[in-house]
Order: sequence, then C-alpha cells, then structure tokens
Amino acid sequence: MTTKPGRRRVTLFVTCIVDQVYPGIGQATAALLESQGVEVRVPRGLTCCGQMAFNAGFRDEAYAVAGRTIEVLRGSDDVVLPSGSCATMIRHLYPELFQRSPYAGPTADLISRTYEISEYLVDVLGVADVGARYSGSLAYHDACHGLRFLGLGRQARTLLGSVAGAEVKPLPGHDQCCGFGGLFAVKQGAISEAMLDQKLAGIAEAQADLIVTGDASCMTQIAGGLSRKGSKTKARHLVEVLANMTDARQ
Amino acid sequence: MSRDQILSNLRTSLASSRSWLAGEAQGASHDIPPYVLPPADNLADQFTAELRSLSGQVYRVGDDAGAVGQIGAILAEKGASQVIAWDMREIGLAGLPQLLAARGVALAATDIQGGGRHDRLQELEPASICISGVEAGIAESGSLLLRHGPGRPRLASLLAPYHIAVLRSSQLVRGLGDALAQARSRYGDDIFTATSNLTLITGPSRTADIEMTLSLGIHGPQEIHVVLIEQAAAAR
Amino acid sequence: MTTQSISFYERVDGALHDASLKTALSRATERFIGNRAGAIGALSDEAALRDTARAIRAGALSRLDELLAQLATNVESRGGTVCWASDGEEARTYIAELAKARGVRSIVKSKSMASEEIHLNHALEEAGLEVVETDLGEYIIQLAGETPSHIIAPSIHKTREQVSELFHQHLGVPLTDDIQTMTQTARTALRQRFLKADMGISGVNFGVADEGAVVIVENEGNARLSTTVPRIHVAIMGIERIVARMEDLGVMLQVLARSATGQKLSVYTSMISGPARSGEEDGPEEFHLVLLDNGRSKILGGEYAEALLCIRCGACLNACPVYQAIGGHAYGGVYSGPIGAVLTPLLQPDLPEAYMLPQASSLCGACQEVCPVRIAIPDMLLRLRADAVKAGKAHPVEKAAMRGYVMTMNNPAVYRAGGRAARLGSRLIGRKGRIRRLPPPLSGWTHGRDFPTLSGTSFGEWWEEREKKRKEAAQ
Repeated sequence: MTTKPGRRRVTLFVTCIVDQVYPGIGQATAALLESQGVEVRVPRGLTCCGQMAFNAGFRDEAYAVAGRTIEVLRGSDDVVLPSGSCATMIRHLYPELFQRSPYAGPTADLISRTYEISEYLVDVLGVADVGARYSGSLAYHDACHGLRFLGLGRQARTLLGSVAGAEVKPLPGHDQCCGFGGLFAVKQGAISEAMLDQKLAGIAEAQADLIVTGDASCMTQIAGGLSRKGSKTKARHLVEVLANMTDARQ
Repeated sequence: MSRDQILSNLRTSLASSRSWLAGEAQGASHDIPPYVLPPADNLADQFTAELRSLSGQVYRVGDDAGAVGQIGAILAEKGASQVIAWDMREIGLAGLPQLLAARGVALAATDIQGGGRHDRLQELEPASICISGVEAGIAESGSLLLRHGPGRPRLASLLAPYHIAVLRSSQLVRGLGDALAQARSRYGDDIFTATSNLTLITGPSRTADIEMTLSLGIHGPQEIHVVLIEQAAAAR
Repeated sequence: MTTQSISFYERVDGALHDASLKTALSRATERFIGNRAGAIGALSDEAALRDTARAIRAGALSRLDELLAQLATNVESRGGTVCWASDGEEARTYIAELAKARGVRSIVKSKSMASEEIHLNHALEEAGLEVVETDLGEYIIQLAGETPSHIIAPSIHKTREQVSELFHQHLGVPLTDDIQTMTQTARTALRQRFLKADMGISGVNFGVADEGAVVIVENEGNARLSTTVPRIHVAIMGIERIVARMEDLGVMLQVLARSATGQKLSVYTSMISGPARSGEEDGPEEFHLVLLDNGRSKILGGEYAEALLCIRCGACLNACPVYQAIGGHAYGGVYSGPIGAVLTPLLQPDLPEAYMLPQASSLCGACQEVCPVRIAIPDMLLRLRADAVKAGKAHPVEKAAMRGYVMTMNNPAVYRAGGRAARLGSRLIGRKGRIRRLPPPLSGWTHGRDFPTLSGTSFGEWWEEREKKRKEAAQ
C-alpha cells in the first residue's frame, strides 16, 4: 500500500474490550482519525495488551500475550488506543514486564510511538475541535491510569469544550476511581461496588445527561451502576461523543 | 551480636540496591530551602498572623518595659501564684524578676533530677503558667524554636496550661530551613553538647482524635502567649 | 489479635456494613484530603520540595549501614545506650529487662507504629508492667482493647458516643457529648500517669545521624511529657527512618506535617540527643535507642526497597478509595491502606492472608500521587501480586481462567470464535440491552451492576468487512 508523502498513518489498537464488547468505540476512533486525514490500519491478529494477566500477578501469562502484541506491532506506524489504561500498560508497565528480555528493545521502540486517542488528536495532530455536536449536558470522568500515569485529562477537556451545543458540567470527584480495576471489580466485588456508589453519588450531583470517559472499562463500571440504579444519565466513551455516535447503541 | 548481623545484612542488601538508591538520591537537589512559602514583606506580621490562625496569642510591644507590662496583665488575668520558668537570665527580659516579686508570684523549683522526682513533679503540677525565652521564631509557620539546657527546663513550656514566651523581632527568621541553618552556624557541632533537647512549638497543644474535632490543651499548654518585642535595631 | 481470626473478606464485609465507620471514615479522610491539598498547594514549589524529600530519603538509604552506625556512635557519645534489635523479640526482651533492672512499675507511651508492629504493650503487660498509651486516639483504643485504624488518627473509627461510653466505664466520669469535656477528662486522667511514670516509651519519626538525635513529631504534647518527665526514655526506631543531617529536617518536617494533617509544622517537634546533660533540670536520666530491624535490612536489598522511603504520613490512606470504603482494621495488619498493603506482606509475612492485601486495590494511583516521597506503590502492589502467584496462592479458578486467557488472546481463531460465542451468549441471557445476572465466576459483577449485551459483530469483523467492501469498490 502506498501513501501520499506527508500523510499520517496510524495503527489502531482498539483493545480487546472494545473489539468484543463495544465495536462502536472502535468505529468512532477510526472515524475520528480518518476525519483528520489520518490513514488507519488495523493489523489482523491484534488482540490484547496483556494487562488483565499482568494486573492479576500472572506475569508469565502476561508475557506470552503482551510479547505477541509486541510482535504484531513491531515496525508499525504510530499506535493509537482508545484507552488510557491499555496505553499505560504499554508505556508504564511493559518496561518492567520485558526488562532483561529479548523484547526490551522492541518495547522501547513501541513506547516511543504509542498514544492514547485524545493525546494523539490534541498533542500530535494539534486539533482542538473535531467538529462534533451534542445537544445536552455532559461531565468528564478522569480514568485513573490515563490521568496519573500518562498525565491525560487536559486533552479530553479541550476536545469536549469544542463540542457544539454541549454544556460541559463539573463532576464532583472527577478524579476519584470508579472502582473498576480489572479483575478487582469481580474479585473484590463488594469494595468495588462501594467505590462505585461514591462515584455515582458525584454523578448524581453533576446532573448531566452524559458521563464521558476515556476508557471502556470505567465506562462499563459506571454504565453498569447507572443502569442498575435506573438512572437517566448514560455513560459514553469520549470518542463516541467526538464522532457524533452517542446514539449508536442503547 | 545483632549490631553486626544487622549491619552485615544492610551491606549485603545495599550491594544490590545501592546504585538504584544513589540514582534516586541524585534525582534532585539536596539543598534545603530556607523557606517554602512565597516570602512575606514583614516577618513580624507574618509570624503574628500565622500563630493567631492557630489560636495562639501574640502581643506586639515596643520594648522590654512593654513586654513586662503585658506579662503582668496575663499573670493577673490567670491569677497565677507560681510559675514554672526558665532562669531569669536565660529569658533576659529586664524587669521580669521585679514584676514577679512585686506580684508575689513564686518561681517554682524546676529541678526534678535525682531522688524524689515524683514528689517534685507533684509540687510543680498546680502551677498555671510557664514562662520561657526562645532561640528563634519562624515567621511562615508561627513556630518557636526552643533550645533547652541548663537554666532552660523543658517543663517551662510544657507542664502548665498557659505558656508565655518572650520573643524579640531580631530572633525572627523566615522559614524552618533558616532556623536550622542559623542553629548550625551559631553552635557548629555543639548544638547538642550542653543540651539534650531542641523543641519546635507551633501553636497550643491540640488533638482531633475524636471525630476529627479540634480540641486544644490535651497534654501541653492550651494557650500560648507570645510577647513579641519589636525594638528598632538602633535602640539595641 | 481479634482481627486476625476472621478472614479478610469477612472483615471487609463487616466494614462495608458498618454505618458509623462509614460516617467516621468519610469525615476523616475528606478533612485530611482537603487540609493536605491546601497546605501542599500553598508551597512555592511543591514539586521541588517533594523531589528533594525523596532524594534525601533515598540518599540516606543508599548508605544506611554507615548512617546507622554513625547514629549509634553519636547517641552513645551523648551518653545514650543503643540496642540493635534484629526482630521484635529482641526489642521486647531488651525493654522488659531494662524495666525490670531499673525497678520500673509504670510506663507511659507515646504513639509508635514500630511498637505496634512488635506488639510491645502485650509483652510489657505480660512482664507485670503497667503500660498506658497517652496519645488521645491511642488511649481510646487501648481502653477499647483495639488496634489503630489509621497511622495518624488511630481512633478515627470511634464516634464521640463510643468514646464517652469508654470514659464513663473506665474512668467513672458522667456521659457527655462534648468533645472538649472528653479531652479534659483524658488530660486529667493521663496527667497523673505521666507524673508517676518511671519510663517513657516513644517512637521516632527521624533519626538524625550527624547529631545522634531522634526527632519526634506530635500535636498533643504527650510525646514531650513521655520523653521529659520519667527518669528513663526508650525510643523505638525502625532502622530505615534515618536522615543524614539535621538540616534535612528543614525539608522532611515540612512535607510530613503538610502530608499528614495539612499543618505547616506539627505542634511539637522534639529533637532529642541522649539523656539530660549535667545541669539540665528535667529530661530523663537514661536514654535508650532501640534500632528495630524486623525484616527491614532484607527488604532493602529487594524490589521493595522503595517502600522504605516511607515517612508514615498517612496521606496514601486518606487518598485511597479502598481505604475510604473499608478503613484500617479490615487490612488486618498494623499498617493499613496502600502502604500497609505493601508493608504488611513484607513485615508480617506470617500473617494469614497478608498476601491478599495487594489484591485490595484498583491500582488507581491516588496513593502515589499524594505520597510526599513519591513511592510507586501501585507498581509494588503489582509485584506483590506476582509474588503471590509464584508462591502458588492464586485460586484454581483464576489459574484456569488465565490459561484460557492466553490460549484465547494468542490464537486469533480461538479469539474470534470465543468472542462470537460470548456475544451470542450475552444476548441470550440479557434483556433490553442489559444483563442483570452473569454466571459464576463473573456473578460478582452483576451483584450491583448491569453488563451490556454485546453486538453481533466485533470491531475486527466490522473492519475487515469494511476493508473488503472498499477494495471491491476500488476495483
């Protein structure tokens, strides 16, 4: 495949949860990148960053899955993920997982070209307004890994601030964990639910139509709680708002 | 013996982690900032505001006579008959011994060393007032640095419910870093040669251990009264 | 300890259903968080101060052998006595025998996590000594027969009504709901204990190598009394709590007070070097420094050495959403919260279920964000989880799930087929786009949360379809 000189090309790593559970988030991410003139490629066989096993302490298993991911992404273009958490796995945790291994070199190379989507749009492409519109109010939840390990948050707020028709409301406890934490949500279900209750209390206070966040995992936790409580507020991924796809799924 | 065992374990451990730790140690300057807040214009004003914000009292007087007058007023208000105090020479406030004598206020015997320690402590316990000097005052935190030692008992800022401290504006420094550097330059390696104790005092004794509710005077003085003597440099 | 006889899950469950604990925890942690944020935010250069604090601590640890020896030599040259204790047993024995040799009957203690770590009170009481905790919070939980639930505020789990009831029972005073009255009750009761005590035992916030001094930080004045009034002062210090120079306190005390309580400095900071000098009218005749290793020298050599930078400010507890939900006792060890989840498996490895504590974290990183010395707590929790798996402690279901996970993720055909099956299954058990009950082992999810039903097509399938159509259109 040939590319026009100067045309940007990225490898989209939608992550396993988006691939299987929220294909719309992957579609929205691709659409956003393409609307900025970026050519998107999705390598066949890309599955998971390995975080689930790594976080559970199963390092051999994480090594097997993440090692394969490194191989699939070897020599690719910039890698963009619609997830601060999976991007954190690559940028913050791969070095520890692959230290003193044959993957140490490829890891450093991968890290140098791995971006979370809001970061890629704002910091790399220099975009502040993607031309989205949403009539209603929304509030932004800072997903922990992106916020604390990648320094994200500013980028999403910039992009949301430019959404025509949207009223951006403050979310009390916006940087407080929703309680997802991967297998934590199941293995420590009671604690996870108590944390979710705190999150939902802040959300109720915000009185927004949409809670927007940058990770499908947090979104699942928050949406799951809102749904169980019968709340009218919905949780959506940032890219769904930016790609005008907030009505794409129930 | 445990000393050798512990030190040997430490050396074994450091053989593998010393380089990482040393790298972290080089990650930033070890210079101690003399102060840590944006500098205020006037140290006496800053000290006063800080200590008052902690429910401490500050009385700003122009000279020793003013300070003695202020202390007299506090003694009268508290109805003191006995004070636990530093040696009068260590406080160095002209007219204070005369004030105490005139008011019939006794200086408690503060030496509790040797036999009869418990009995002498029981004799000190009823005193309502402590009087001390200070080594330095720290403006940005409203703190007092006390260098204890002979003639400067620790109990004279601790045992009674009211503590009066005499501070001169010349003793004010901006921050804790300043205060420690000053102590070092003043005493060199002899900071603890003649004394076993330096104490920083920042406001009255307090606790919030019950329902996070602030309560003053749990074990130390519930009131701290700083008499700040602001003499012009030329007058001293 | 009562907290050790029931399981971690039961303790968590009990905590989550304790309404008064919930109120107390949110009151305390919100206050601490707000105070800390205000105090840290007011600094001219917060980042630089924390960087320096970290560098000072790391530098001290990098030559801990040398500094510890220097501290001990200097303490001895000031007339103090040093006990090197490899473990709790050596420390307990030393203190109990010292008390016996000196005819000590009554001991006052100021707050010391190291003494909690080695269960000192129990040992001293066994030796027939009367031991009274004098920090108000510690005194309350001693009367209640409990352990601290927070590094800084040991009794935050107690309501004023519970405290009043304890004072009524043990001190015979009338019930009251006035906190100032309770404080004065404690002052009066404890004052006589101080005056009659033969020995004072304190912890140590920092050992200052160049001056042979120990630094004790507090707000109440009980540590000053414990170290001034009795004729013997015993200070217990974890060997890692050292700084090289007295000047280093100019940074460490500032970050400690701000991180712990939001104060600029704690009310009292005592710097103590040896017993009272000749001519000093008060202060102890004898000063003993117990240097407690208890596993620390080994930790220093491994991948958890960074945990030894900790200055016990408690900021990570307050910031932690898990701690906010379950409080300190649920952790079961002496140290709770995020740093407790790291320290307990290291310092109390024989504690049943210590290995589970690192699981009790969503890895949100709030702890590292507030840590004055920037300890990478989440990374260490992950390593501890890996240690537990290596030690064979993972649940068989989880092990099987992980094998399945690797098989699925590393075989695109299996991944696709599995995904299709799961998506289909989700629509079979879900209604109106949501699943209200998932089968085990995922049933924990749907206890309080719904899960969405999944669409028929994965992103990957959709993408390939789209690419195929595009190619066809281009031809």
